[in-house]
Amino acid sequence: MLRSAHFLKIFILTFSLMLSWGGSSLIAQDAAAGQKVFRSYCAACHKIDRAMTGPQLGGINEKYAGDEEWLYSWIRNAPELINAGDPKAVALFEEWGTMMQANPTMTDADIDNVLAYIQQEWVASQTATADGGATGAGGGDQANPLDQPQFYYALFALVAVLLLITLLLLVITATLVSAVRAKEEQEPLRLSEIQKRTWSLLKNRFVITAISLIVLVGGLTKWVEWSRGISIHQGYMPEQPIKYSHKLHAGEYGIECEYCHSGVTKSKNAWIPSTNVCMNCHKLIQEGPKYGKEEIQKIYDAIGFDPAKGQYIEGYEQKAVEWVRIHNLPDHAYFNHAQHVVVGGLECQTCHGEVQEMEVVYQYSTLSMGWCINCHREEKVKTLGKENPEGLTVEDMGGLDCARCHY
Amino acid sequence: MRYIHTIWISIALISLATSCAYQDGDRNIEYSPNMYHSIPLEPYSQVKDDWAQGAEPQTIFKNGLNAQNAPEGTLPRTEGWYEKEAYQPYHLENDTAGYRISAEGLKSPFESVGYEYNGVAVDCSAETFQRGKRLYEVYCQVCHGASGQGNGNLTSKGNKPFDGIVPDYTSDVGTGLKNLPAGKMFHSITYGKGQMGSYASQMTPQQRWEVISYIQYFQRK
Repeated sequence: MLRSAHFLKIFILTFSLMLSWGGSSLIAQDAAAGQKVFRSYCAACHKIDRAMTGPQLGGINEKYAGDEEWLYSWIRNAPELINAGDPKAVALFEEWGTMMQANPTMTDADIDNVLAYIQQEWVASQTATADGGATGAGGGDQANPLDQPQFYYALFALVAVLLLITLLLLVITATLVSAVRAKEEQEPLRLSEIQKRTWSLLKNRFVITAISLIVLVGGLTKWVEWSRGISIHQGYMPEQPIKYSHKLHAGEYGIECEYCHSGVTKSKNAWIPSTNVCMNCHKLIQEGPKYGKEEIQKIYDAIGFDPAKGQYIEGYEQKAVEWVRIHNLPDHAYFNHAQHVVVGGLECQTCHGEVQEMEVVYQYSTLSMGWCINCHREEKVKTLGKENPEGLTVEDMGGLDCARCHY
Repeated sequence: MRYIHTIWISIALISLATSCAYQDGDRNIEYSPNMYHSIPLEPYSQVKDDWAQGAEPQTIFKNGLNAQNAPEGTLPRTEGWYEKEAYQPYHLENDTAGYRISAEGLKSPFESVGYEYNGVAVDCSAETFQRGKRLYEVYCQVCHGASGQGNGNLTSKGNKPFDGIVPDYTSDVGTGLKNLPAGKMFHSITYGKGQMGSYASQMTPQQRWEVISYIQYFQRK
């Protein structure tokens, strides 16, 4: 009797466990299968939380509640519905200007699953936004201390305090000297005496010679250094209109230099990309990791793009982004990027430095004539993929002729 | 010591004169700015550059830009500086009809010479294929991935907007592009498709066909 009751208990427990487990896994499988379908059929054009090529899918279950049959036939073959002149289908086609591909291989179960997945993600994203609104603000970014005005206030205060201490020490010394003299019944310390003493120190030949020598040698070195740098803008690092980071784009994401600077294999200039090149990715990526939406918005302002709708604004007067030119050769020197990159096979980094690690780009090389000549003397030429045993350089092929670059 | 004042004043002046330094990241001064700043218009020269030509803005165009859009209908003389072929204008419109026609109406200028890459026959010579591969690495790989499965750096590095949206060249399920005809690829590269932008400004028509030759390798693999 006891035994069978025990057995019954175990049986009921196991059964209820199976039931609850099975029940929950049934729902999970539904959405998980739906995710697969979503990824292979829908994700190229649709997002759940916003519009992309096609409309936003979140909330679609509520929108078409009671109209599921139409939704199913629309998902399975939109072009057919549009061509048949179904009013709802035609309205959607006119609103979005593009036709959803026919998906005849999708089964009813696939559509059910994908709708369940969309619902699950939509509810999750809405609760996430509700939570995020409360906690998301106030993400402090670490700024450079040199950019903070407080830093300079502190520095100023420090200097003022030090000056005060010096003055105090001088006053104390003077008072002590006067006190000693008063005790020894000598003449008291006068201001004229302090002046006289300082003056004799200034008139001391040794002091004058030493200080003059230091100033002259230091000044001369500095002057030579400075005059050698005239017209050389090495290290020039202007502030650009958009805080574009080569470190993020070329370094972290490994986008090739040529992607944006496409002219580098085709022409004299490497090309600064026009905003349509930015939009290849930033149609979708509307928020950056460091500056949020602010910097990317500048691209949209230039080209006329509405990030909320994900569409270009019609009739917008487009502006140019006025990037500040960094590298500039004088007019009388000719330089061709394509020649150096295609024929010479040079890496961009040879002249421009490790740009993929620069947060803000600066002029890496001197771009002086001596710098050009040096490379033409030393670099071995790539002889059509063959070896170059004689060590042929550009110089050997007339690369040092004046008219090679000055014409 | 009659000149003591003079000596000290000159020391002070020398120190003052040499203590002025350019801040890191600033431009240096130029010996003769007119030689550095182009008087003829250069596409990327600084238009509002007061170092150069005084206060006069250095442009003849109303919008202040030296690099202007080409007038509508302009054709380049050649496809690129290294190509001998004349430029072929593209006549199909950027709409659903154009996309449909492109599948049948467009043909690659390259022909099969029996070249095989990793045991897969491709429709072009080895040089063209290698050029296409390089172009793919530059322009496509960041989204479409090194294996053509839509798993490039932009999608795999946890970038949420790109998550799962790039179609797979090697699959024929759903939006998979295994059976996409070359003509539709050319149309899509020229005008853009879905979230992909137009690459017409970055690749010449011939380069587009080169990159298509490489993409077909993924489809046939």
